Amino acid sequence: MEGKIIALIEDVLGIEKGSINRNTRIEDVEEWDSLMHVMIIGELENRLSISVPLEEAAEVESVDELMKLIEG
Amino acid sequence: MKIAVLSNINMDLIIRKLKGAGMEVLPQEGFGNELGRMLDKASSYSCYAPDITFLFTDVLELIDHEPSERAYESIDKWFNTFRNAIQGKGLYYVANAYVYGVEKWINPTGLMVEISGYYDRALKSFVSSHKNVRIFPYKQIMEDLGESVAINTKTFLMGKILHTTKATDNICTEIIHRAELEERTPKKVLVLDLDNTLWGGLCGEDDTTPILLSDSGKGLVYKNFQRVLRMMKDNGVILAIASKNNEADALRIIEKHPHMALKPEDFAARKIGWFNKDESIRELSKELSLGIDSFVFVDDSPNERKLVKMNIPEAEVPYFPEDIEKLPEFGLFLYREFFEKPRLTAEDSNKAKQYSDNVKRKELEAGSKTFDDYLRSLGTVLKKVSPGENADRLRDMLNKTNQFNLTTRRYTHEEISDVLNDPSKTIFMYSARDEFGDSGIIAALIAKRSADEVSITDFVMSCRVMGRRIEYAIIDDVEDIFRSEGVKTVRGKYVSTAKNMPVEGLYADLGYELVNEEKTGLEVTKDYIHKLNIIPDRKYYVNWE
Repeated sequence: MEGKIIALIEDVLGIEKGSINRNTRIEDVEEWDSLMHVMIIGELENRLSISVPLEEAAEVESVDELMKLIEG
Repeated sequence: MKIAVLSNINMDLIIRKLKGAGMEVLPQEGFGNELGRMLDKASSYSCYAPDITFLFTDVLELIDHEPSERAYESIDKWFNTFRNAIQGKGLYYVANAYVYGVEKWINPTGLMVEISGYYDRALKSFVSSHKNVRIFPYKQIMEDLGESVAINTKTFLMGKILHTTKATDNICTEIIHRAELEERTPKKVLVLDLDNTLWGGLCGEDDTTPILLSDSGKGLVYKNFQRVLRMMKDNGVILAIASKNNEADALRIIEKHPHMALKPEDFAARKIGWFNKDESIRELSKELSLGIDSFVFVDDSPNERKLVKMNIPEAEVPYFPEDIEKLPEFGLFLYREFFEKPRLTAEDSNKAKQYSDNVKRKELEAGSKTFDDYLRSLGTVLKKVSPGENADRLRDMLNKTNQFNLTTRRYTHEEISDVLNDPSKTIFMYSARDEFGDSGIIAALIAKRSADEVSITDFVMSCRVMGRRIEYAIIDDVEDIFRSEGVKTVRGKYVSTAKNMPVEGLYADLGYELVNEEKTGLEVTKDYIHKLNIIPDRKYYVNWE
């Protein structure tokens, strides 16, 4: 699942495969701004049926934090 | 070309992607208040002055998700404000209504459906009275994808972003396509092969290989392809045939086969026989009086395509799908790639018939003893029409006529309305019909008056009616009118282009006197003068309505 999620993030951001990993921090990825963050959360639900709770979604600062939220 | 995207929901991603695709687009400054930004002459939108504005109104948001009587008022108010917000120049695309979400399942045929229908009717009537406003097929894009793929509730909750990345991409593609349509010259004639193109298999060998055209399987694919072509024909695309067959065998299928969606009269002209296809296409171009650069040739055989491509580089020769199940989509590709126009006029729906009428006229001509006999037997009737009510067609003719165009000036929407409102200018427009059919509006002439002299600054006529001396009748009419108003002199001008050779001698034929001739590079300009006290005897066969 982690691979699928990372692939989805790269796809939504329109960046090369392999640019993102579990340790990536959002602020270090130029394309990952607040608008794209919303899109990522939305597409996770739409394409992979992963629902990230609204209030927590906004707090996430890294891929790792996002994964932990999803993994519960 | 500068564009703007305005909406009552968040379109930031769409704007961003359009920019990424190389479009010049106004940056988003929040959303909502889209009409306010248009009305405010000092807003960034007004200063930016886009060539095309795309307006997306989320109807549910507009009516605050409340399908009550008040919803109708909100819609009326929106269109009234929009009417005041649009300026003379610029084009506007307004999205049609798309209703989504769980609410629509509660009373699925109730007021919500009513209201989105009401919005669409209001939009349609608005568009019919505003020539610079068009409908953006938003609902079609969303329904093509389906709500579960196109809409994202989560992003809407987080930032009023309604569309998924997939829907965003498709909306961007359509915006770019619409912007391109405004600038390109559409093709006119689709020349089709028969065997393995309109039906499967080879005709004439039906004892051993019955052709594939039916109501199921591959036969249905061909029938569906024909249905797409028929729809294209009904919207102004001229269909013609160039095929290598025994004509009688092919005609038997075209006329009698129960699953032919296309009927013999749907083809404006045909060349069926054992001729080379490049020659057939040249013949069709002559018969239809249409430049070969407005032709698109479709054939399943790569050899035929190669031959035509080599010998007629001006014609478009697209690929042919390997997988014949893709034929109907290929039809749509042909339409969007070559023929689609930003706005269909009444002329377009009649066009195909007008061209097939023309082919019949040529047959009559071949059978007439003299040219004068032929012209008399045509029974041409001319009628004057109002330029103000046909401004669209006026602009179309001025901008697209190449052959019968004396000065080849092109006009923007704004310039057209300037001419219409200029008291020193008179615009003459004419429609023509004869015993073979109605050709619609076929000619326009603009004359500028100063004291007792007028100058014909523009004179265009559709190539469909060239060679019938209709232009003689028109000039007689124009001169009569000005003579009765006390005008003494008419000036005419010819400016040469690569395509308007056919009218180089027009003014001389009309009895005008050449007073000046200038050459700059390849361009020749000729100025003519005619005294209205001289009434030339011009021979033509036209009745006036």
